[in-house]
Formats: sequence, structure tokens, C-alpha cells
Amino acid sequence: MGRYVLRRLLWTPLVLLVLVTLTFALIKAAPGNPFAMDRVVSEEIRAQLEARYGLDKPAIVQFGQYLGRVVTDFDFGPSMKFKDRTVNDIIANGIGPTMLLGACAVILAVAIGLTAGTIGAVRQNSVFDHASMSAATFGMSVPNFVTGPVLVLVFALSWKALPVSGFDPSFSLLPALGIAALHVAWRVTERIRVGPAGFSWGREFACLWLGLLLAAVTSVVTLLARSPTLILPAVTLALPFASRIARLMRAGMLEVIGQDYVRTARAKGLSETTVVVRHALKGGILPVVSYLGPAITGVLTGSLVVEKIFAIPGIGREFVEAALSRDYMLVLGIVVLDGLLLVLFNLAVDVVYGFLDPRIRYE
Amino acid sequence: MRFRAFAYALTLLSAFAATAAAEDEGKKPEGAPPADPAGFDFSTLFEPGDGWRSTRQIFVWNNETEPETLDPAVMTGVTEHQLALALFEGLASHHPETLEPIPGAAWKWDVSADGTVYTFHLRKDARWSNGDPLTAEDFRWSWERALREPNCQYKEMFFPIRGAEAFVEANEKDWSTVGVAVTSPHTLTVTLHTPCAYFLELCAFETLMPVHRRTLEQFGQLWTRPENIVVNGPFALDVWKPRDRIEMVPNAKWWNRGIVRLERMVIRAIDDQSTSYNEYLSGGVDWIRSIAAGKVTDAQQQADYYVQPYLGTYFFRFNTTEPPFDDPKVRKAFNQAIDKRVICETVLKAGQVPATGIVSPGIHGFPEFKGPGYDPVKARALLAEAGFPEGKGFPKVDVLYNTSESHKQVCEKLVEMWKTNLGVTVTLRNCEWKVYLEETRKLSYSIQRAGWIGDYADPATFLDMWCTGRGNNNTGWSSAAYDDLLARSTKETDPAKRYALLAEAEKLLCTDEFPFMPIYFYVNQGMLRPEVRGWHENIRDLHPFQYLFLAGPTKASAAAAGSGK
Repeated sequence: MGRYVLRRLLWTPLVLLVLVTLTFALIKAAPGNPFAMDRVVSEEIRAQLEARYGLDKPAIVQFGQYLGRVVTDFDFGPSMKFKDRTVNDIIANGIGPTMLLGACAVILAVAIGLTAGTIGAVRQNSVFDHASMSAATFGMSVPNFVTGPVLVLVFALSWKALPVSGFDPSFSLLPALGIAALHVAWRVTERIRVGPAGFSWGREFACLWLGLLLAAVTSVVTLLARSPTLILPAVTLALPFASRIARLMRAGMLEVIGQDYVRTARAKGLSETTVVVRHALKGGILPVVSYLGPAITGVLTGSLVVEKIFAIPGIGREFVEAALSRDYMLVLGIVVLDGLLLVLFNLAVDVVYGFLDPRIRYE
Repeated sequence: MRFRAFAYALTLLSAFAATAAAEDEGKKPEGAPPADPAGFDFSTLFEPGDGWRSTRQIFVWNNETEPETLDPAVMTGVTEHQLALALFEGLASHHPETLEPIPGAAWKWDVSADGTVYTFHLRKDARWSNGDPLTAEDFRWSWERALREPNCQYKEMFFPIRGAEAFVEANEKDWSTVGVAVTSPHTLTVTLHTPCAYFLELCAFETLMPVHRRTLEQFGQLWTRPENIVVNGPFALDVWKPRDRIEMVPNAKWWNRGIVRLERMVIRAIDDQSTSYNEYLSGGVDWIRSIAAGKVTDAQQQADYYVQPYLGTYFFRFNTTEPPFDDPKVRKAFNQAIDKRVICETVLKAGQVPATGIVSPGIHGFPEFKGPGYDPVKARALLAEAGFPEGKGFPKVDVLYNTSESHKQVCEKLVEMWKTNLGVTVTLRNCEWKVYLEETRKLSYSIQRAGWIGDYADPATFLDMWCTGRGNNNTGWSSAAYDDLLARSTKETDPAKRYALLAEAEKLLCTDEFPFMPIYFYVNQGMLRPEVRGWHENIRDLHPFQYLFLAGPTKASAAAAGSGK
């Protein structure tokens, strides 16, 4: 396992190098110039500008200098559009809001999706099942450039309960700490009640997951309760993910519930809750886990639409706008960042998969 | 309220003009811009208003997008210009109603009889926000720095100054060739190579605003950060959260601090126009500078909606270097086949004015040119004369525009009219912005959509670019007679005669030649709370912030005050 992870990590720089090379070639091949404006400046002024940003040199030299600067100084160069700022600076400013919003959305989506999917599978064909799956189909098929404005219309303009846009986060760790304290108290009282004989690491681990999920959800709820500007964007962003997760979870659970080992567990006389939580869940969640890797990356690299509609100062729109304004340096910087995130989250998913599915072995 | 403001503006304007004229008599050509408004009484700009004392003076508005820079010499856009107006002050500043140049960092100026030497007398009490005195050397250094700074793309704003163009274009290293001299710590003498009627306007333009040398040298690219920046304008930078907001507070060291009533400005950077409009409706901001195309009809129903003429022209260029548009008759036929009124009334719907000339109206004293209008019969005849009766045998041409729903609608209407009136089929070609710019520069188009926003209120800003070889000509069109008219106009010191020459130049362009096809003159639409006072409609959408105040509380100002700021 350790060797597998190490090998994957060692491959990362090579993957990124290929990515940067391709991006550089593509952006150089794209027509247009970072300094073109609708009013034309003289050749001399243009030449001075290009020299200032090294664009007067051959492309291969530019590329070499860029790589050198990135590797030795971790300096992604100056932005060509935002003249007062560097790419490092823009990424540092944008990544926080995007990640915060993304984390909120992922946690909301996972919490809602897992719960709805599990209940839907266990109570198959119930009213809840039909209602939640219809909602999920709706959530998946309506794009966020529709849900966003509709939510604004309803909650911000008609009901006037929430702000239209902005980014004003405020957080408190207290509720999450409360959950942690409750968790510890719960585990300790169980030890005292049952005694050391009933102790198993597997059970502790499962309980820990539950506690973590609860703490994460509590944190998100705290954050949203304290920062109203985040509610609508987080919900807009979470909706399609929650829908997808709910459907995947339901399908996964249905498949697992029909399998022999679950029948065995039931035959042993275990309660339905124990069967679902301790036996079925672990297998049923696998499709969700493999989906989460790319999904989390997608959310963390930012959403152009959500960031634009709600005026979130995030990285998602920086990326798209940088490409449109041919800000070569900013595009490359964000590509490296997004590539790194993608590689790391895919690795994380593979590792988690290994824990959950005993059939998979990493050599 | 609008009418009252207008009447007030008129009174003020006439009083101002009278004093200026009295002062100027016998010194310089008549009718020239007020060259020596010594003793300009700023208290006349302190608009009375009840209720402002008991109101938290926090002005929240949307500046459309994130500024590309806060360095005045590097700025090129409208968003940045708005911020520069608050943070920096040039030798001259803008009158809030007429936008005429009034004293800024210089309290008065003298102009030589031939109109080429300007002597600026700086205020002895003008200071930077860190307390350093503002001197003539600050301006000289800032201007030299702007001309040397590769990032400064508006260097041509300096080109009326003697030697400035050579300094840039010929890579002249020696600053002494440039006509800017510090004659005493508070006197700056500027020599122009020819008279320039709008030089004082340029002195209020951001590219010519001063920057603080020590701050730039110490912090380099980081000098505009709130913790570093030193400014000389009415406001100082307090908070800069990129892509979110900029907050400004009054600059305590500004020489005219007493006139500033706002205690804070919260400037949002919402670039989505629908979001911006929704923010206004929900009370989140008190001024939005534009309205999403889809919301215009809704906005027009609201009491806070305003629309003002804007110094800009929407037009289409013809590629005059290749057939069929190398023939002026074809260009004129295409022009006269378009009913511009229909485009304004059915497509744009916001009060845009159909254009038959290129110079946007509203420039004081310059008459709007009325060229040949819509005449499909004449257009068909012209096309037949050019060898394409009923459009037969007309080559395949397309109209290039940058991808945008509103441009597309205009272009579709044009294509429809050309089809009906001339029998000519024109196709649409849209490109993403940067590609569109590249195609234009390379003249890879037949007809190209364009727009031009004036930098200063003078016809030259619309006419100069059509001279042979100018970077913004982009049509390949060239006329010795036109070049001569423009050259003569720059040498002309009598403003009336100069305007006559420029009017003649416009007539030459828009009677038979038509290297372009004017469609309409821009308007500027927005929403403004009635509580915001000291704000006046004008053709450049500039509203010097030092004169603004709130006559009563608004939801946005109360919210900003409530969040402890």
C-alpha cells in the first residue's frame, strides 16, 4: 500500500509536466494576444509590453524560463491582465473562497445524498423512495445556471430572507467540538457499560466515521447559519451532486442488499439497522466513493457559473476569464493547481477504495 | 428632482462661464477652455441638502468588475477610471456637472498666447496621504515614469507634449527633450508641440495623474496594496478584497477634505449584470452603472432608472482594401440601406440615438453632423452604379462581430435590411473577443462591428483615428484631403475655426466616403437611489465622488454601518 502511494506520488510531477507542456502549446497556438485591446496601441508600445513579459523571446525559451521559475522559486509569474498582481497572489486569494464553498457543497451533498439513497434502498418503492428519486432526477437534470437564479428570485428577491450575492464567511468551531465531546462521552459510556470484552477496532472505526460525518455536517450548518451569503451558492452547487450521490447510493445499496452475505447477516438474527449500517453500507457506498474523487475536484476547482451568479471571489471564474483574456501565466498557474488537485483526489479515492473493498489489493 | 438638479446646473454653469470669461479676457483666444479660473469657488459645488448630517454617509455601489490595476498610469478601462477619480487627482479635475476642467492639484494655470505653453501653479497645501507635500517634481517624475513604463498603454495621452511621442516611439533616452519642466517646487511648465484644445481635459485624465515616487520605488509591483499605497485624491484605499470589494475612506490629508461628506465607499465588483440588478432591487447597492439587456424593460418601470447620453458611437467598419468595399459607392449604398431608427427602436430600446455622423453629440459647441439617411431607392441606384444591379453578382461577404447576444441581434437586423433593400446576402461571423481583435487588426473581415468611447469631450477623439496609418483606423482607408484637414485642425488656435475644420473632416467621412457605417450613439443606463445627491448625469458617466452624499439612510448604507464598518 505504502509503495503504491509512493509510486503514484512520484508519477505526479511527470503528469503535471505533460499537462503544463500541452497547455502551453495550446494557449500559444490560440489566436489572440493578452495585450490586445479594442483600441490599438503603436507597435513600439506593444513591443515594450511584450518585452516586459518575455513574450519577445522564442516560445521554447519562454517555456524553459517559466518551468525554471516554477521549479526553483515556486513563482508562477506575473498576471498579464491584473498588472498589480502575481499569479501566486491571485490563486492564493481565489482558492480560499472556492474551497470553502466547495467543501460546504460536498459535505451537504454527501450528507443528503447518502441519507436519501440509503433510506430509498432500504424502503424501496416507498413514498419516500419515489419522492427522493424524483427530486434527484430533477436536481441532476436542471443546470445550476437555472437553479441559482431561481433560488435568488425566491429567497432573496421575493422572500428577502437571504442576500443576493457576496462572500462574507464567519465560522465557529464550538458546535463541532460539542459533537466531538458527545462522541467521546458516547464511546466511554459504552466501554463502561459493556466492559472491555466487547471492544473491537472495527466498531470504533465505524463509529468514528459516523462522528466525523456528523461533525462535518454540524460545521457546515454552523458556517451557513453564521454567513447567510454562503447559503444559496452552497445549495446551488450541492444540488446536482447530492442528486447524483443519492442515486448512486441507492443503486449500490440495492445491489448489496440482495447479496448472500447480507442474507447471512439477516439469518443470524441481527437487527435491520445493524445489517444496513455494519454490513450493507460498506459495500453499497463503493460507487459513491469512485464518483467522489472527480466530483470533489470538480467542486474545488471552482464553478464559473455559481461564482459568477453569486459574485464569489473564487478561482473558477479566474480560470475561464484568464483563458478568454489570454492571460497565459494565470491559465498555466491554475492548470497546475487543478491538475495537482485532480491527481491527489484520485489517489485518495483509490486508497479509500482499498480500505472499503477487500477484493482490491494494491501491489 | 432631476429637473431641479438640471436647473441648478444651468445656473451654476452660467455663473461659472461668466467668471471664467471675465478672467480670460485679453489673455488668450476667445472661447478656449477656461485657462485661468483662479479663485474657483469650490463651495459652489457643496450642494445643500437636508438630512445628510443625521445619516451615516456610506455609499455602496457596483463598479462592474475587478479592476485590472489601481496604478493610474497603467489603467485603460472604465472600471479603473472610476477608482482613479476617487484615489488620485491630476493637475485639473472634473466639474461634476459639466465635466469641464476645473482646478485640481494645480490651483491655477496660465496659457501662453499661442496656446503651446501651460504653466501650472500647484497648491502649496496639496499633500500626499502620508503627509508628504505634493510638488511639481512629483508630476514630472510620474509622467516620465509613465512614458517609460511598459505597462502604460495610454502613452498617447502625453503626445500633445513636445517630444513625448519621440521619447516613446523613437526610444529616446534623454528626458530633457520632453517639454516638461519644473520651474519651481510648485510650478510645472509644460510645452506642447502644437496647441491642444483638450490638453486641460487630459490633465484630469488618469494617465496623467501623479504617483508617489518613494512608494513605487520601495514596493514595486505591490505599491497599490492598501497597506502600501499613497494617494493624493479625495479618498484613500482602506480595503481591497480582489473580486469582492474595495473600500475607501476620505483622505484626511487631501487639501479640500472639508467638501467630502461621505465617510466610506463600499465598491463591489459584481460583474454579472443580472446579479448587479438583483443587488440593486434587494437594496444591496445604491448605484449600478449598467443594466443587463434582459432587464431593461423591467428597469424602465422603476422610479430609480436613469438613462443619459454617453460619449460613444456604435458603428461598422468596412474593409476598404479589397472588393467590393474598396468602392465608396458600395459603402454608401450599404449605409443608406439601413434604417437606423428601426434598430434603435426595435432592437436596442433604451433611447439610443440613430447616427449619421461619427462624432457623438453632447460635445460642447460641436454641431451634430447629419449625413445621408435611410433611402433604399438611392441605395439600390448606388449599388447598380457600382456594377451590382439588384445585388446581382455581388461577392460573398460577411459581417464580423464579437460573440454577444446584443451584437448578434443588431447584425441580424442589418443583414435582413441589406437583403430586402439591396438584394445582397451577407452572412454573420462571430468570434470570441481576442480573436475578433486579431482579425480586425489583420483586416481579415469585410464588415466589422465596432464601438468607440471618447476619452475626452472633443471631436478629435472620434476623428483622429481615421487618418492614414493610425492604429485604430483598421479599415485601410486613406485620404490625403482628410489627413490635411486634421493636420490643419491641430495647428489652429482659434477654437471656432478648429471646430469648423473638424466638422469639415466629419463631413468628408460621412457624405460619400464612409469607411465605416455609423449606427447609433450610445446611452448609459443605470439605477441610482434618490437619496444619493451631488450626482449629475453627464456624457462620460463620471461623477466625482468628493461631491456625493446621502440625504437619507438607505438599506445598503445601514447594512454597511451595521456590520461595524
